[in-house]
Amino acid sequence: MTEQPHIRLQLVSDPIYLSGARELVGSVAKRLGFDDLQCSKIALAVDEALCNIIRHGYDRAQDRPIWISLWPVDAAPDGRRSGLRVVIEDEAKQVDPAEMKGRDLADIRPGGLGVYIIREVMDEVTWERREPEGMRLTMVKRPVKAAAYCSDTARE
Amino acid sequence: MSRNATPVFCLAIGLSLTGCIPPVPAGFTSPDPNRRLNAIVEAAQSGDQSALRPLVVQLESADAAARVLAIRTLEDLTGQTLGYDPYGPDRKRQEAVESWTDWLSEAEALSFEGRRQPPRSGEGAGRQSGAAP
Repeated sequence: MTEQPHIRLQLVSDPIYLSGARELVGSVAKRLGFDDLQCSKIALAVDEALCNIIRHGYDRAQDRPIWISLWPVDAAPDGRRSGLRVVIEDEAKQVDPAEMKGRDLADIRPGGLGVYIIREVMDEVTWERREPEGMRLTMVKRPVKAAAYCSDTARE
Repeated sequence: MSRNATPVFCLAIGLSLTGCIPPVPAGFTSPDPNRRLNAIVEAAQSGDQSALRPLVVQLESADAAARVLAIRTLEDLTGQTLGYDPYGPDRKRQEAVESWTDWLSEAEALSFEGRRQPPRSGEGAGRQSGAAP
């Protein structure tokens, strides 16, 4: 992915900024034409991802960097778009991406629910190691009704 | 009997057998979010009907994990979700929580009515509750 993100936000790993990041992403999704339910899901996925980084990646340290980047994806020549890509990067300890599976809720118990929730609410989810350090989470959400998701909506 | 009659009927029997409105199981009121999650899990594993009301309270949690576990447990215990989506916006979730509160009140009232009737010869409390409308 070489294209510059349309929005790139850097924050420190202090939970006090979670709500601001969540609201920013939710608001952008809304302006891009996602409905309330989908905006809520996108914001929730971002919130869970940031919580995971702060709790597990940075062991609750509050001064470490996190980057959030946003792209509208698959823009057609007529300006219509078919989704939103959110990339969250950190410099936290690296883990094997294959371990980021979440788990089956048929076995109800706490732990690993953040990954489960992210996979539930987003359409595409990928974790990868970032060079030279940290992890990169890429999430894509596509609207239920592509016809309602167009540049005209965003300009209203 | 109004909507969702069968689950309400079954719950009324369960509540009658366990006593009046049951006390909130330990853990649900803990300030520690992990203890609250564990309380939900224990309710799911034990099938404890007395946990229904505190589970409904957890549907309003700011913690998405608590909401997911709570609705999954409620679905296991009652066979329904009443339209609750743990990932939905606040307003939609609140509407579904109100449905859950109404349903629970109805079930508890049904249970209470069952217990007020004097037992007929040869009949147990559970059967009287089952006979209530």
